[in-house]
Amino acid sequence: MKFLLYTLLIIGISSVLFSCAQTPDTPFSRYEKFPRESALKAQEIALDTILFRYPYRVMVQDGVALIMDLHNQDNFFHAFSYPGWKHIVSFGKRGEGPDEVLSAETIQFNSLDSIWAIDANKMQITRWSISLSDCSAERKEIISLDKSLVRSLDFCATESCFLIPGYLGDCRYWQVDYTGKPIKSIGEIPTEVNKGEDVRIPLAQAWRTFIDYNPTNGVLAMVTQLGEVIEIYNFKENTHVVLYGPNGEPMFKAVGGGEAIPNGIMGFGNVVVTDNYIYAPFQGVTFKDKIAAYKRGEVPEDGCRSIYVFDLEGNPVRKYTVDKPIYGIDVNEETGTIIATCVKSDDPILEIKI
Amino acid sequence: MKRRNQILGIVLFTIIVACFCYMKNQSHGMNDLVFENIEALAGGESGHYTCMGHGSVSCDGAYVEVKIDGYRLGE
Repeated sequence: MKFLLYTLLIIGISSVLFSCAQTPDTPFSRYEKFPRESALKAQEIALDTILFRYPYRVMVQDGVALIMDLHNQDNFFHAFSYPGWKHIVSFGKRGEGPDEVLSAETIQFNSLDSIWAIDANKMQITRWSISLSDCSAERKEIISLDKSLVRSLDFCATESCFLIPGYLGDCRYWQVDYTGKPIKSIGEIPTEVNKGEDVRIPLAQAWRTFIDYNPTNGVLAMVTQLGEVIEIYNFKENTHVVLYGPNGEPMFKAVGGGEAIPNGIMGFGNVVVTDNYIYAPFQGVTFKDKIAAYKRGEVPEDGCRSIYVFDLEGNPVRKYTVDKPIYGIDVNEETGTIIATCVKSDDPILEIKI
Repeated sequence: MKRRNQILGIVLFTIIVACFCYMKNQSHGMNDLVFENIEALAGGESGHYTCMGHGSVSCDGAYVEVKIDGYRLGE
């Protein structure tokens, strides 16, 4: 009997020690630092024309570099020869007319006749074609997105459908067919703290996500514009990984009308999935600091000073520090070259050797 | 018998303390972010906000540098 009681006593004390020493439960994996870090110097590309106000995305394919200007005066898209950087054509005229573009959120450049762009305000995905022989561009296809998607701020065109992050918080992303109709909703926002139905829409706003899909390895990577969360869906292996960085999930203040006001940090600026790695420029500046800069009458720096590299399983591999703030990137692992955009610069296109 | 009750009492006390410690850790598991967001939600639903600068943050169909509480910048 005594033995039994002493055993219970030992179990009890052990429980106390174990429970009190235990770290809080967190459902998703964390990364803290990168095993390798290095500094990179960006080389400015001299362009023969000045066309940009806010070059936000860049993609290089088939000897052409395509740049999307978020705050352009005339055209959203600009094609240059690569690596010569001679202007070929500008297209996607800004305007409200039927042939014009109201907004452009991102582009996907598969080939010269398969350039996809999304217009969130018109709720359209369009396909464009560039002709190098007569330096022209033509809109080949318009796909009107179903109204239930409300507002689509990013997309990837896959072999069978578009992948579009959910705007209302009722799913993580949608599969949308090539007529613009949603086929299937997938997943949910991997928040650890904001589970309430009442914050679902502002939560989804705060979790605005940039995505990229590589058909070769079947990997879809998603990164949050606010906070520091990366998700990796591997369609071939049917896996889903959620990784929280040191800055955690997007922070926001919900105000009326389902609106969210960011009050944490600006996180990732873009994401690219190559055959081997995931590259994501990261900013990490707090909105508090940005607002403080405005109060001092200064314009805060806009862009990412780091590029995080993960393997396809989500393990941190390397952190690059860049000497200029960047946003959009195109990564060529074969030549070890990153082409990047620097949004508020007179020489906004950069070449970075990795 | 008396000694056995004492030991049982110690065991029970230990288990209760263990449960308390566990629950405490659980509530910490919600971390500071919860409380900041709860505090933010409790801050009032004014519906007023300002879109400032040229940037990449979505605000009323445009893209701005910061989206702020209507009265915050002037404070």
